[in-house]
Amino acid sequence: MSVLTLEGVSKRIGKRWIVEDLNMTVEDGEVYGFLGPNGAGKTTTIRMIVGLARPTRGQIRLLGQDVWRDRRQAMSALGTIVENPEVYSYLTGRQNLLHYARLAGLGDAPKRIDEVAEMVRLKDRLDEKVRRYSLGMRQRLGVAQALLARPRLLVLDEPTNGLDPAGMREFRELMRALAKQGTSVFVSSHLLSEIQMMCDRVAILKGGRVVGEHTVADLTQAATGRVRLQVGDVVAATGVLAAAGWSDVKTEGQTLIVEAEQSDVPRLVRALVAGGVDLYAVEPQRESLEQAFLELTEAQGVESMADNRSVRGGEQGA
Amino acid sequence: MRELVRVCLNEWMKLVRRRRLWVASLLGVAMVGLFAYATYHNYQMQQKYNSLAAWRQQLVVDKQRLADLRRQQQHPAKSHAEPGAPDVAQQMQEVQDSIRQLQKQIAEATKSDAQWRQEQAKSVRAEQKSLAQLQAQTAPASGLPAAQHQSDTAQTRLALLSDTYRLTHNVRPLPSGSQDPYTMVMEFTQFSASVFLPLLAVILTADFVSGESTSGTIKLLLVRPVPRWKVLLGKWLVACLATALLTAGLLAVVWLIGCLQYGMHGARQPQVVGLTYQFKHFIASDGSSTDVVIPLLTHAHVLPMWVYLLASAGLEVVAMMVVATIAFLCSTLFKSAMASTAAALGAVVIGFVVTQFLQGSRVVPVLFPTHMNLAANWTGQTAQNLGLTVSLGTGLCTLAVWGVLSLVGAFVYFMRKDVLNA
Repeated sequence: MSVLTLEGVSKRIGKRWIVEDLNMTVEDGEVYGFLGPNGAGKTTTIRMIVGLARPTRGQIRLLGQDVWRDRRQAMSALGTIVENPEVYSYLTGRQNLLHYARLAGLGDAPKRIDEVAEMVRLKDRLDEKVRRYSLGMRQRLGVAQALLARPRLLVLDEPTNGLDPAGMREFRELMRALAKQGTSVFVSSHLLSEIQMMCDRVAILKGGRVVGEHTVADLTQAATGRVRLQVGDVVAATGVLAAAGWSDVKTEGQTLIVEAEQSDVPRLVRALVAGGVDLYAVEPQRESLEQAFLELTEAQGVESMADNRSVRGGEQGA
Repeated sequence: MRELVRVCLNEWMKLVRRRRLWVASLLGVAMVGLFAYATYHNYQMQQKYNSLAAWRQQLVVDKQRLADLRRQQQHPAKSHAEPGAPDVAQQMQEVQDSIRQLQKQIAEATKSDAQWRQEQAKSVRAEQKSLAQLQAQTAPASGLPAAQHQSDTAQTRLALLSDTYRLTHNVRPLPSGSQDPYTMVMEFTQFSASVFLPLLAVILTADFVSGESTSGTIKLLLVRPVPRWKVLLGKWLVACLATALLTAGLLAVVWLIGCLQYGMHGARQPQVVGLTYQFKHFIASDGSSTDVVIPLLTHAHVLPMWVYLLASAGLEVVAMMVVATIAFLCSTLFKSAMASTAAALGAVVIGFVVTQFLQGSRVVPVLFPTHMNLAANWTGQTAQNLGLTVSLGTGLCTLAVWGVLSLVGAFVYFMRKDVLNA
């Protein structure tokens, strides 16, 4: 069963369509990335998912419940961090968590507060005023409040903003562990590496439209038909390759890039070894998420913008 | 219901840990302190010049002076007989008048209760008689004489109300120059109701929602299973409760200070309530105009001071809750805590200035700052100040309309708004 579905979701603010016709599904136990440049409509989409803003058109369902019409059921399945870790700095960490536990209607609030504090390693400092917390600690408190009500779906908007590398890594591990336990995660980011390391699937947003929804594996493992070789003698190697039938070779220092499929690699290696060339490394090239991202957003971005304009023109005419 | 209780608990937890509550309380206490000092200063002045002890002292001085003057009269040779100076006989006359006046005041203050009752009964009978006479007269048909007759009758009945009360309940007036906690609280209300107490209510409640928008916590508040209207209702209830507690608390502190400084007396003094006034304006044929003020006594009755005080404190709390509700509306409309506080303060201060500025206009009774001191509406003081027929009912209705409109506005806006860039 899908945890989150967006069906034809559009949002207009004033005369501008911030996002248009979004369709996405997040499955159980999946970490779903939501990637896009700044200003693409990520935050607006997330605010609609968590019920802070109302879609102009379309429907958003959490566990099959409409976010606006069956708010109570929908929201009880949700945990969220929206942008910065916003907490009441004049309360202690424990009071902050108690505040949210009351709103979630938790029966075993004190016990659960200790549990989540343990999970994010804040237990020792929980009774201190949040004013004295570091940014990382506030972020962890934000995660704790999101986990408090045992959500089925975590919605995170740029969650690693302001975390140091160790904090980021810890955060990723926590998300992965939660996903393993069956919690779905919907995470937005403009950091590609972040998404690449965390997510199973990714939707790429550009100019208010989803321009591609792929598994991260698909995007990053698509073979490019190129193999990268590191050799001792570049000239000798080029000669051997030309003789074996690979004439299209690019040279970068000690590295050769050959137009060859993955299935050709054994034949290629045999030829080089037989030709007496010293071989240090063989690596079939894969597309990086960055390339995929740039290709998708650049190629279709222009198109979709042109599209938007015609749609808007049509509406004004009518 | 339990959900609402939990929301309220949350709001209370946040309120008592925010600086605003303490700022408002400290300002309130400082103001009460200053007021108590001013009252005490005034009281001492009264004691010095206008009390039994002062009169007795003055009497001794006057008698001494009279004796001196007598001696002077008997030995005129000693005097230099300055030209222009009032002659001795005239001076003696003045001193004797003063002595007589003082003796009368002292007798009034020191007479026994039985004596007082007797005199009170006599004056009540006199008033009743004059009222009967007025009623027996055939009332003039219309115009200025009719209004004046109406006014005279009502004034006599008004005087009779509290005088009869004093007689039947055996309540003597407090000695002149004295102070009591009940008067003190009413004076404090009068002095603080129009600007100072509303200011505290605004400080306390004008960032209830906007504060969360400013800090961004509103996002985490509204992604819970609790519906938005319940979150807002909880906030409003706590805002009103805090305002009520602060207002009632300050009035209680004033009363306590009064009790400690001046004793507990004054609780049974009469206070006429349910009074309002009618104002009639006549222009004579020669162009001169006359104003006639007619008390309207249909709902008038007398309450002992302590009942009046409790009811007034309740009314003041209601008025401040309305101010808090208006401030609450501002806090939902504005995203910045600063802007919402400024808007609410502006509403209170500008509202007050406008009511002063438009004195006598028909618009004034429908503005909320006019009815900040509902106790004064009840005793007819507001009506007298404005020169308009304004009663407690008018005040309560006006405030109810303002409060309900603000609340509805706040809810409608809050339910619909998208939280996009908080």
